[in-house]
Amino acid sequence: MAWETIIGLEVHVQLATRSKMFCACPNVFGAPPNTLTCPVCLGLPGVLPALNKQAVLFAIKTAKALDAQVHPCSLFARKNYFYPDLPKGYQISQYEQPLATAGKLRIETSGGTKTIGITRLHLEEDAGKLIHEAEFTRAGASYVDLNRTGVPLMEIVSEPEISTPEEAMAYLRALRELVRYLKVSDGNMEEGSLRCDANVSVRPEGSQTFGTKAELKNMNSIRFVGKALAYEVERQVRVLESGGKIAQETLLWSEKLEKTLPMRSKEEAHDYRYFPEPDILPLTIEGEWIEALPELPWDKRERFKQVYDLTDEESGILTEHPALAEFYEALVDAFPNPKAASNWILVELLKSFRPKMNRLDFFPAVSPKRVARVLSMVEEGVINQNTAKDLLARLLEEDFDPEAFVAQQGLGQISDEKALLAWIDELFERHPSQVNEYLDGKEKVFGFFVGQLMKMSQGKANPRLLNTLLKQKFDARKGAF
Amino acid sequence: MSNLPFLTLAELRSGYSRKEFQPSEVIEAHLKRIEALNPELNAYLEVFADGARDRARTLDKKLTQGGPLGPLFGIPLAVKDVLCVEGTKTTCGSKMLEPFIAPYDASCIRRLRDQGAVFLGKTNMDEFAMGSSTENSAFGPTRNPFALERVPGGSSGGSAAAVAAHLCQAALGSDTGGSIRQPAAFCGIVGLKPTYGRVSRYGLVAFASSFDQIGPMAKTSEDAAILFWAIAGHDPKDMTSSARPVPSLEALLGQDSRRFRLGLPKEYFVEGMDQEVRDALLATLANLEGLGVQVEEVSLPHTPYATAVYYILATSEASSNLARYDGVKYGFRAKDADSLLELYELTRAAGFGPEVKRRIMLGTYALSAGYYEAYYKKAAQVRRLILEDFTRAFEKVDAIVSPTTPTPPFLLGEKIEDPLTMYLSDIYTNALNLAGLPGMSLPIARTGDGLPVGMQIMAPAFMEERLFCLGSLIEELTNPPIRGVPFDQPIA
Amino acid sequence: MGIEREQVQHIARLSRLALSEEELTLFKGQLARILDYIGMLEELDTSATPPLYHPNAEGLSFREDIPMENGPAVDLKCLAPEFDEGHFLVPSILETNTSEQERV
Repeated sequence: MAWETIIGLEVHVQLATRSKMFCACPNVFGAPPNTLTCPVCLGLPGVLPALNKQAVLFAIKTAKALDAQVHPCSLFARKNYFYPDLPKGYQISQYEQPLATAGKLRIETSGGTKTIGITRLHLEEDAGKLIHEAEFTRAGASYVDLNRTGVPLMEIVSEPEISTPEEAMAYLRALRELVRYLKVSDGNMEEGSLRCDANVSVRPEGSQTFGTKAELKNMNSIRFVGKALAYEVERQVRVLESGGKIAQETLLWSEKLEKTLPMRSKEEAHDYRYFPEPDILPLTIEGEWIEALPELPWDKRERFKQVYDLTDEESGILTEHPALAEFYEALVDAFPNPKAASNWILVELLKSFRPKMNRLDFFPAVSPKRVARVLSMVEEGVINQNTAKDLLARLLEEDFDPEAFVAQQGLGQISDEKALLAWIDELFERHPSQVNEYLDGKEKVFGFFVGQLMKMSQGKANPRLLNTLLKQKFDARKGAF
Repeated sequence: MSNLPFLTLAELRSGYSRKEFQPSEVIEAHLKRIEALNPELNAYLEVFADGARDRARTLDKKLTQGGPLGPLFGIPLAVKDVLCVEGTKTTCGSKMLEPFIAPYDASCIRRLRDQGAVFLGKTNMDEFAMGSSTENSAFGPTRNPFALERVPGGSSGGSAAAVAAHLCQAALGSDTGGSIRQPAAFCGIVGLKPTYGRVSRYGLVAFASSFDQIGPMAKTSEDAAILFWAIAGHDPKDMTSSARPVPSLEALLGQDSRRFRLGLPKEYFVEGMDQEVRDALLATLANLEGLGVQVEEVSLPHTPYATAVYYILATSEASSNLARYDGVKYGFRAKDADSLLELYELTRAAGFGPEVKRRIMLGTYALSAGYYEAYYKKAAQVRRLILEDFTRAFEKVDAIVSPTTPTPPFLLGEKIEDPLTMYLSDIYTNALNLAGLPGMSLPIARTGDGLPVGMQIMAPAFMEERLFCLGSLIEELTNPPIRGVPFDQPIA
Repeated sequence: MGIEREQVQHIARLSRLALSEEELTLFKGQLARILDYIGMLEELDTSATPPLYHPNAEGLSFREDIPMENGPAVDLKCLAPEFDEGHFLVPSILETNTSEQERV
């Protein structure tokens, strides 16, 4: 039997505000436990939430970019449950009237373009963290760190319109790229600033009813989401084909075991007892809050292809991070050869940018104007490619004036025919046997001469001219015989 | 014994400005009286004797040096133990918070401190402000200074008793369904529940967030106005606090209430209203009419539903607000729990008293799957109908008047076994909390047994000045003035 | 409107309250009486009435996104019943089979 897969994703995005959602504690990662806390996020008796305006603006911006309907009035709600990472005994979230509904996100897969519906987007606060069985923990105890408590989260729920693990991964990549473009989150899954739960079920192809779905958690990278979904789909098909039934349950992806495992069953089914948060008045969105959106990644990608005549892959990479795209455009501005500019970035610069490109505040640590001047010198024949590579590597380390440096260090190309011919003569005298080998037809030896000559010129010889002159010399020798 | 405790707050203020006495004398006189009377009354749970003396000495110097004095300079205040005062225990009358020392000041405490007030201590209350008699305190009941075998009302019973017995000049209480007004009526003092949103709730331990308001309890309407004025206003820490400007003290006390039209809700005159209470109210209204005030009947047709709505919504919010008391971050924690579930269940079973448990259960039930629509949502809809009743009535009248309570103070132990009957003693007060409107109770008479009778005045939102001005007018009518326990009446 | 003993038990569990048999019986009776009283709301038609959740809601005030500079104002060690290595302690909860789970 052929099976059809149905996947819906719930993504939590930590917003890159400077302070937490309801208090002024700094919103930063990696501080010592419980040091980023105050009476409000500790849930002390008597405290009240004070809503961070920036968090609301970030969520509105994202909703707009997802083409969702931002509601003029939305409500915060309390989700009640007891857990040690939830100091108030409830999470402030949105339930009945969320910030935005009915959006869409376009994804690109090997199968082409597809649009996935977004059911809702709402704001809520993050919970703390529990630590078990660490080096410092006592036996029989779990440790609670509330630093993350109250960090603003945006929950984005997709329609169950994702049909393959590959699509799920593409969806996450598109969403991650979007939040980075909007500068609302660094979208870093490894550090947990973007987290994904998946609802997955299978049904016989053509069936109109949904199968029983399982909820997958604990997937800490886009790759793991792909692996976990692929595993789970296969498992469900296997169970159904052998006449079994799928249990409605929560499963955790174990990267160690490369399989999904059921969460130990809870004592009771959840009853979150949602009700409107009395401490926060209804959120009414004013028109002036809706800022103009920056150019969105898919639009930028298309424009790069058209305007700069780039391939899908080139424009895809160059638009991965808005700062990189900006760098490229500044470079083309000063060095109007888009194709060459793209090549130089992809081949020479990207590997040094990559490690920092998952940060929201990533910025290429080199001035595009300086890079443009190096590339112009190549084009004008002032320096050769090797020198340019050296210069770019150097520019990544420190800032300097490339032309002055080339002049000062005498790095300019040697295009002086006389000088080059003198070096050739000298070389022929030193290596008569290799000359003869070449004349006997061993043309490989030509490379040896080029290498030696580059060495003699300390790499500065104009390679094209050098080749021409060397050939002429050999031809002259041939004629002499 | 010094007569300083028997002055009013306003009298104390003018005495300071004339340098007739020093803060230390005033504080000392109050501390002496507390020492003598509190063991019997149990109004204070904790007295800040040393802190108050230190602070008074600092203020003495300031008075000697001259210069402007804060609006509450040297005024000794009591604070209901539901408000956080930095560095002191904030128990809410509960074993659950017995070990809790507040690491921050409530916003209203900060304001009063900045204006020169001196805090004498924390007062007793029904556990987590749930109750109408102060019998639900984990630290023993408070007694009514007018009649020790009777309750002082609740939940702000400690504050009411402290003001009535002249153990402070005025006090802060909190009112969720009548918790300031009902004990004020039972103890023969003035108690104001401000408009919802007028006073910041930051630092007030939450019972029912969309109902709770902090308010003054004082000996006169003028004193209540002064304390109200000192704590009112927007606070960025409380998003439900209103941004409206607060009128000046002069404006709060300067309206001519002789031209008021007063509404008397016919639905309040039902079975259960004590004859003496009824007579006292009608007599007061007749006196007011003699001064030119108009009194007419108004209708608040949804009144009979108010108590039901109140107990659904307030307990629902409470069930959520009290979830944070779990033995993990602060407060009481049960020993020897083997699992997380056990830690929660044992801590909460031992930390909360029966009334709190009952209300958490009721609220949890009203919010639980399958019941939300029938209880919580339905009640929230009726809540709007109750507000609309008031809105319509206030189109015709400036203020609405009623008894504060159906009966004079009842006996200790009389109702504690019967929660529903206890709930129904708030029948005249909780509708205002549902509507978010301001209301004030003030003493109008004594029963034949010498028990205080209170009258409630209700006004449209943010119109507290009508309450103070009408209150002052009524105070002029009562002769001799009732300002707590008479000086010559032996309490203990 | 009655309430079953099992319902009272369920509500107690949801509320995280360990109740004795006596308390269970007592609360069952009291809750039943209160619910019976509350049942009067059924007689009102509220189909056209929007619920009122926030009295005097006159517009939300926000906090600007400015982090506070100084560190923790609260001495957690003094506050917490059990505290170790900078953390609050609870009885061990390993709710997963993999033990590598971090709750989201």
